[in-house]
Amino acid sequence: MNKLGLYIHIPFCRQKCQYCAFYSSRPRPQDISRYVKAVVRQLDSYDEDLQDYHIDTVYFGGGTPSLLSEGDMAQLMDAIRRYPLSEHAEITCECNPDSATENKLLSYASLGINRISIGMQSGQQDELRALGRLHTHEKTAACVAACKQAGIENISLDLLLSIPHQTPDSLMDSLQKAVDLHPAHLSVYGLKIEEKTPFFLDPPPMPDEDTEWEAYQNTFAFLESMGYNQYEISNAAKPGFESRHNNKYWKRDETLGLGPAAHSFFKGRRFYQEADTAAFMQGNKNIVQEPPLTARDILEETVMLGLRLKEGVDVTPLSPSPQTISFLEQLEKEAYCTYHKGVLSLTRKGFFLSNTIITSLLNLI
Amino acid sequence: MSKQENIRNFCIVAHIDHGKSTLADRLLEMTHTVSGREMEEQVLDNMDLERERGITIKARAVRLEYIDKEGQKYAFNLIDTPGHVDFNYEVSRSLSACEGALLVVDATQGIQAQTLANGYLAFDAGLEIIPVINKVDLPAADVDETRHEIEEIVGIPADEAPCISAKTGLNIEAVLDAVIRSVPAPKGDPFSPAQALIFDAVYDSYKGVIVYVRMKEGTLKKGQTIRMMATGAEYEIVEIGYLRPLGLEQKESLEAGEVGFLTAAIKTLSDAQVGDTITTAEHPASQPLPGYKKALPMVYSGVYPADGSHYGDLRDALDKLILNDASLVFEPDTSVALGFGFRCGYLGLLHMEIVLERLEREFNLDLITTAPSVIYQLQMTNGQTVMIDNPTNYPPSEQITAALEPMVKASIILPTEFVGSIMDLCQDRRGVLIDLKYLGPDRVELHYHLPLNEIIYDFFDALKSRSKGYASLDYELLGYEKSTLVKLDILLNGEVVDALSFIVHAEKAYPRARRIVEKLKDNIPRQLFEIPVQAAIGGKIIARETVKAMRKDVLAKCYGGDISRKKKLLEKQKEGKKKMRQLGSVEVSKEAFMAVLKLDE
Repeated sequence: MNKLGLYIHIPFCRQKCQYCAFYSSRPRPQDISRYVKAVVRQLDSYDEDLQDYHIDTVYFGGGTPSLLSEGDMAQLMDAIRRYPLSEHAEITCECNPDSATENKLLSYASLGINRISIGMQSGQQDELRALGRLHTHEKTAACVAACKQAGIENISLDLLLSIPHQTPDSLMDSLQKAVDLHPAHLSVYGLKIEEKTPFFLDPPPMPDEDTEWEAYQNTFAFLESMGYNQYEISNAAKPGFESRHNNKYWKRDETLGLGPAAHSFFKGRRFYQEADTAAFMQGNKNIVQEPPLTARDILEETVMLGLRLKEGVDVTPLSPSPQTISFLEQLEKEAYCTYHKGVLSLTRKGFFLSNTIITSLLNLI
Repeated sequence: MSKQENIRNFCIVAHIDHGKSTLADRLLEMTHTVSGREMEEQVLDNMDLERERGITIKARAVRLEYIDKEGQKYAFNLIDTPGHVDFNYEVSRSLSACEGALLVVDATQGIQAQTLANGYLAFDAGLEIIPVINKVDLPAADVDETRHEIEEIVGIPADEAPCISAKTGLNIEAVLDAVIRSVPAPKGDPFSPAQALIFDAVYDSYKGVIVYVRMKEGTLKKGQTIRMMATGAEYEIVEIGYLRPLGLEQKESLEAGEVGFLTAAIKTLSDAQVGDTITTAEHPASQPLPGYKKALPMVYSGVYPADGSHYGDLRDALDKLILNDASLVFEPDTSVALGFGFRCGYLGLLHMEIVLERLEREFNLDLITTAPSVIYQLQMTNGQTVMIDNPTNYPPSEQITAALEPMVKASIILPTEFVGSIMDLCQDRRGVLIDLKYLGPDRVELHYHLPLNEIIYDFFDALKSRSKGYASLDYELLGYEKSTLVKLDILLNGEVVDALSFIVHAEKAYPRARRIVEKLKDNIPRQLFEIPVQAAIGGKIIARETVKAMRKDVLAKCYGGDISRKKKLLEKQKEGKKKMRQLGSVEVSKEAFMAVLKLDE
């Protein structure tokens, strides 16, 4: 039986954050329950295909999945449980500190959700406000406590770098506050001004390359010193608490995405559902197939995605040319990577330059 | 066939934008050669057609017919002249085809450098000069001052100069009457052996070269065998006739005094060189008309396709371009940095710009050019004298006993308020002030001797920007002078980039080296590794900058399995890399190569 990761997109937010380019809108009454029914319909449409698989990770992402009521979530979990679901499946739900109440978390836990990813973003009030977040750090702390109260220990916190007003000190303070909450996992992303976001129209001042570099290096060095291993460009975890679902993306394992704008890599094909919630709720399929993957595509994906992980990529099957090897040795000399027994893995310095390194490498192989 | 006494051959000379082409258009209208509507529609249509067929933009000469108030019928041949110093030789040949010149002066600007330069050329050609004061309808026009300047500076009476507005058509008859009254009718014996001056030529893909001639002596007829006196080549005249605004008018012959065209299945422009004399094979003239020179390039540069795989396209484009630009020369060249390309020679800086622009625009090429170079004369320890136009071929200094560089005599006319700033510029460019003349209360003419290599970079741009566009420049070659020259090499990551080397005066080497390494530093994108940018003379480093290693290029978020964005980003980066030149381990963009050419910005 093949393993499968299931991703369920919840495209609703009470308020759009200034920086967010993910697909979501403000829900009207009844929207969420109609939406949940549409997700269940879509899941059931894969009925036959799913018989060959057992689902070992489930991820509710958004948007704001924690807007789902206990009943909505129960419907979704019931639907998922009609298919082969591993006993030890990692079932993650993203939560906003202000929409996850203690009761809700208790019932999520009783439905089988065993991992919560909390959008903390920052421990500073002014930074949170600049991002357009509705919560405070007290809410984040309360949310973590509520998770633990509900028996969920596998907690991840999301943090942002390069927030307007962020200073090296405020960043360190936020990191300390995060670590003090004893999460199992931390994701730290650099704020990027994306098109079609409020920040794009009215851009905040952004730090220069060197400042960002310092922030990134210091962040993960600090987390490492606190026992969180950086296993991916933007993620660090206590041993054994790496995100199993996200690892599927980097390792090109199969995942099935449900809901508008959700991407799938399923039975050798990549495809996605068009980003149109209204159409989706009316039952329109609107699946867009990516072109079939060529051998070259697979090679490029393997390198591009694999190098996001600390464990790196075994490049021996690519039979690197002497030119490639000399390039890799040059990278190693600059401490951008380690290249040992055919396995190439980027260092923290290399992670921050991964695009350039990957394109240069792909031009050589 | 017109009687000689009723023919007037003349040209219009003016500074750029003083209204030469507008006046020409008005003359076409006034002589009813073309109606206003036809001006708009047919002439332009004709030009489009010509363009498609590869002929250069506009007819260079046109025959107009005019009946004066007494009913006398005249044939006017209006001959166009290029307006820029690079084409002085062509200008002088066009002038030789005329007996008179209209010297058009903008009443709002007065005499400018090219007014004078072209005015003097017209004098030298022995032409009757008729001053014309244009743009008198503008509020800023100062007719009296302009009249005064013409008399004082050009030295010709201007009290009867027609005051016109070519734009509104005001007083154009006065110009026509002045042409009849003042321009002498041509002389020449239609029964002498033929001497026809080639004053222009254009390439036509159907007819071959269309040669524009002024019959000085004798007669040329259709079917006759002609001889080019400079090359000795012989052809049979296929077509002969007049140049009309809407096309070619076929005739049986052209006689002494007339202006017209001929075609003779001539394949390239280099076989019909401007300034050459055409005679007949049967009764050849004993000697050619005076003044023929082969146009020689003064400025050279390397031209390479931005994408190395387009070398063949560049070669095809140059092959086509020389069909209608006889002054351009080129030969294959290779650069370690830029691969296969060509070394091109131009008449001057403007000519270079025109050639490069035409290559990019008409042939849709993306080019990298190297810094322009003049031709240096080197006396070697072995007694030889060598001419060097390519820094790559510059010998080691210990083999050189003396180096000479070309000098020009430059005339710069400008408002007094900018004199200080322009004199600083000229001094900075190693200029020697020969003379400073007040042309009026607020205008000055500066005479400088300047090394040509100092003005081929960005001198004209600097002149314009420092004078808010008011300064005008004209120059002519003076000859060679001894100089202290060095070859400056640029190194990226420790390796010499041959395409960036150039020859420079020893005193200018250091400041220029500094500016170049700074420009390169700013124009080479940060890369994976730190890149030293150095300038060296004979192995000695004289300037250094460092392009710091890039630190951030990451797409951290890659969420919900959506890897397509990341894929697209990497694709875009790969495309971007293809546009870069790989020099060893360093990637250099076209912009970096080009930035080195504009150091004064």
